[in-house]
Amino acid sequence: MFNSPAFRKKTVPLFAMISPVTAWLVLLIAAPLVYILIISFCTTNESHNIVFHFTLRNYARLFDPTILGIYTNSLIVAVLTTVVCILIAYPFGYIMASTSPFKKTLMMIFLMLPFWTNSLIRLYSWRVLLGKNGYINDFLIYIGLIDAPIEMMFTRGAVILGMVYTLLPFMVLPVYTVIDKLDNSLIEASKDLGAGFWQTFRNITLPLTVPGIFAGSIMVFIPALGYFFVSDLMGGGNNQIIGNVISRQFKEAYNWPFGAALSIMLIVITLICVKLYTRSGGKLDELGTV
Amino acid sequence: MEKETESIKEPPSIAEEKPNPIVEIIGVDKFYDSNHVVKNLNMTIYEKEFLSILGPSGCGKTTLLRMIAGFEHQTSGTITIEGENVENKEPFERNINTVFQSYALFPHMNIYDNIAYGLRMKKVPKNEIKSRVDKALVMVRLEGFEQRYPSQLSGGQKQRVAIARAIINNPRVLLLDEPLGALDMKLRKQMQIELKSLQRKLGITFIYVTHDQEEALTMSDRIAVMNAGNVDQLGTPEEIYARPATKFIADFIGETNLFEAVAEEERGGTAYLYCEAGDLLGKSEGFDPNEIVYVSVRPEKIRCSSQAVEGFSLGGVVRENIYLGNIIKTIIMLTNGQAVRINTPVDLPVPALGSIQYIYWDIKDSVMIYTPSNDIIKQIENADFAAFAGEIKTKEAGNV
Ligand SMILES: Nc1ncnc2c1ncn2[C@@H]1O[C@H](COP(=O)(O)OP(=O)(O)O)[C@@H](O)[C@H]1O
Ligand SMILES: [Mg+2]
Repeated sequence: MFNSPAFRKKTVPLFAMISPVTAWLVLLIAAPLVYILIISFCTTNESHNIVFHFTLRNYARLFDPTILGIYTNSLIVAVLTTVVCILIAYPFGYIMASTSPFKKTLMMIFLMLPFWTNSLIRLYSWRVLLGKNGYINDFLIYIGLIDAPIEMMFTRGAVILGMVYTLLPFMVLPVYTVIDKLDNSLIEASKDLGAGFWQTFRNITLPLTVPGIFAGSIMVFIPALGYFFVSDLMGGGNNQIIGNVISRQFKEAYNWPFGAALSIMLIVITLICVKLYTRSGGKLDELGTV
Repeated sequence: MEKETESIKEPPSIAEEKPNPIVEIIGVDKFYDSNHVVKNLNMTIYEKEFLSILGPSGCGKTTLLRMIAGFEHQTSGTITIEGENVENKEPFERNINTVFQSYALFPHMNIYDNIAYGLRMKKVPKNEIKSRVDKALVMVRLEGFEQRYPSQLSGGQKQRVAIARAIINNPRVLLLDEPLGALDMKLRKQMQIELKSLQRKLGITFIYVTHDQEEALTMSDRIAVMNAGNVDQLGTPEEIYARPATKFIADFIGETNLFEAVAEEERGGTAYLYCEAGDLLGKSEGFDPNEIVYVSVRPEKIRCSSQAVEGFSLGGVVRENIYLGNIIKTIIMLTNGQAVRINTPVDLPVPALGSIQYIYWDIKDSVMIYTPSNDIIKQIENADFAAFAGEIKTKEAGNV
């Protein structure tokens, strides 16, 4: 999995963003990237071998309605995943930042605990809960809210649930960090000047913690475009995302050049996101230091 | 009471009125877990006065200020503002504003928005906000800085914005927590004068926290000297300088020489004291025999002579003459090893280095500092042994 191009695609810009780029990392990643870029302009013969014959056909195929549909679906899933993550992570991070050190540690453990088990196993467990004969359907029927089991698995909702479940810590950590760093005397100054809790939140806390939301959004949005195993398990093939198409080209269709073109497209989207982040992030940073 | 009447002599306009209490602190205690930070504190602060809370770092000044502002709740006791118990009042429901130690300017708002913040929260009409912000900017001499951001200002300018942001709300009391702490010496002196004149102009109460005794002495109408959660003395700068109530204050405020002595007897208004370096005379204050007394004498009040002087004098050797601009500081080592500091104006002769000198002073210039023995007994009776025991218990529990 670590060698899959899809994984690499999302990992490159992430590394560039989180850590100061170290030279060897670039070298290690630059070479395969160049290879991907080259084969995205190539074709294949009948036995699926790559033929170095320049073509733009792979890129033209990106505008195929089916592919565009998958892109759209993928973007919807990623955007909704990000929004839901923000809505959960912000209050979580806020409470974590303002509670006692002991409860802070406890919350952190509860957040990270699931990630010490395999993510596939964790996702499978959702099937047990959400499936037609799952516990939730059983319970809803038992309390008489529904008559027949409802389909919860293999929907877009299920994919988003899986994504949120997998990616939530990546939102919580930056959001928590920035809220925790917020100078408490700013909050007190706001209250001293007549603002209540919500006014202080809207005027001071939120604007000053937006950089954390941005950083978290990047960390969630980009993987949400590519985590094909989540849509495989939770969407059951009904809800494909970009990552699914890419992985299929490499593993089943053996059309590496088209897979490469899809990957390049994903990299472009990713770079645009990162660019947007550093742009606004840069400005916010400047404001963030008195 | 006598102290208060003295303190308001300074601005003559106020002296005619009877001072009205504005903040009253009645038996206030504050614990952080088992840490007793403010101890049964009583203090009345009057309208229009400049009161400094002076004390070393960690003595509870900030905690006291935060309780008055409403950011912190006292463990027990009462605080009233304008005669009203503020127990259940939020910070913004108190007619008080705070200037924070770190300025706490909102980094994402420009200077105009920072200063206007309080009025906007109170839904003051836009054009009124404009005229009041303009006025406040003039008052702190920051006209033309409206569009700048806090990060584009110097420390002194940020400080002025913080003050403007607070006073625009017309508080009755302004709380300032070491507001000049981060500024360099020169700017600090200048801001001290500005703050003092601003307070006079506004005619509101300033409660000013500082650990800088010089700052407190130059700016205040009254000073409350805090030490380990207690107010040891509350009085005008002159009183505190001339008649420090405790050894700690004598040492903390200005420079002084302390002579530890034992009271032997009192005769005709004079106390006969025994000190390791020689016998001393002091003011008679009804000492019990064998009571320990500290005699505090400021360096500028000590004189020296090459021969023993009638009355009393302590012999010693001149160790150093240090030139300090307008004065020369002479260090004389007494026979018991105590170093005594003497300040002499530069135009007067100083004793030669290495010569033997006898130091003496006018009894009127010395301050007798002592804790009457019955006070010690009272202190022991009042001591918080329950809290002490609790502390030991928690420590033991921690060890298990
Ligand atoms: N929020 C807090 N929690 C626990 N202890 C505190 C807190 N704030 C202050 N203290 C303790 O209370 C004591 C007095 O602090 P403070 O009022 O800040 O002193 P000062 O302002 O005079 O330097 C210190 O020992 C400090 O460690
Ligand atoms: Mg302090």
